Amino acid sequence: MQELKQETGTGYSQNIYIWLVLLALTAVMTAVAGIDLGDVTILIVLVVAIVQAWFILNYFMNVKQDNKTYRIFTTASIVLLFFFIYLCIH
Amino acid sequence: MSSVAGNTAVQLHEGRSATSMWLVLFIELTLFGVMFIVYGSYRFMHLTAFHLAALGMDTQAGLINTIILLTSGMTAAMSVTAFQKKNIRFSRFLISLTILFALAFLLNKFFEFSGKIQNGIYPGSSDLMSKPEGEIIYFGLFYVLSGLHILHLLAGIIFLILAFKMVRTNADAEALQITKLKNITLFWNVVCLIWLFLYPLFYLIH
Repeated sequence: MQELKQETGTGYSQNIYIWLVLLALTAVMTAVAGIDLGDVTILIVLVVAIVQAWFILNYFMNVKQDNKTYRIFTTASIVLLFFFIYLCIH
Repeated sequence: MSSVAGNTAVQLHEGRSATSMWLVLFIELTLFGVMFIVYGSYRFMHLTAFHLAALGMDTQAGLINTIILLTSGMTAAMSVTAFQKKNIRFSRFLISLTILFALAFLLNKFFEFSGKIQNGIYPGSSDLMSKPEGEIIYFGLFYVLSGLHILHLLAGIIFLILAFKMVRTNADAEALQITKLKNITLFWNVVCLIWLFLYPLFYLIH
């Protein structure tokens, strides 16, 4: 029970800050998609999606505080996914 | 002595449970990852048709759903924090808020799909079948991926209802409850994570 008390969970304020960052990134993603920059638009939109995924994984899903193996696997799979999607779309 | 053994058993259960959950989540991400690659490949082959089909998508509905899911991800994460801070009532309130956001997402999806169906854009419709092959594939992928995502969302709602029932003031079962609650919020955030890729691929990239 003592361990449960000592467990380092994220605070409410941190969750709210991350949520605001995610909303701001969504706004950026949507705004950039409206500008015709060709392949650069696709690249920016996908990079923003990856950054959002990173925030969710690390702060809402707490991978940062979890087992190192999960962190490596999740980061690697998200980065790989980005490259595959970008290569296919590009 | 028995208390130490009990704590060890709980830690062992927590470790196994977390590993199993992450395994499930990796499988989910791989499934959607493969589908996204299929989308990318077809887009490469039918670039113009995908461009035309994407112009008909309701970006506003997609944006509203993104905001709803991001907010639900936050409330889900906060419910764990509230539980860790022993604020059980607030934790339950946050879980119920998450369920409400999930239902709002479904309602928005219902309106979006209704609009598409009214315009004759649904799998097997004569209007859709008369369009170029690329557009048929685009909307086929849209319905398959959206449907798969909605199935996950429905499963998430069921898990959240179970979490709401489970989270009670019961010190004996606290360690086990937090493990289950964490796993359920992990699943819910994966549902949000998948949407973060569906949104740009179908609603933003033209």
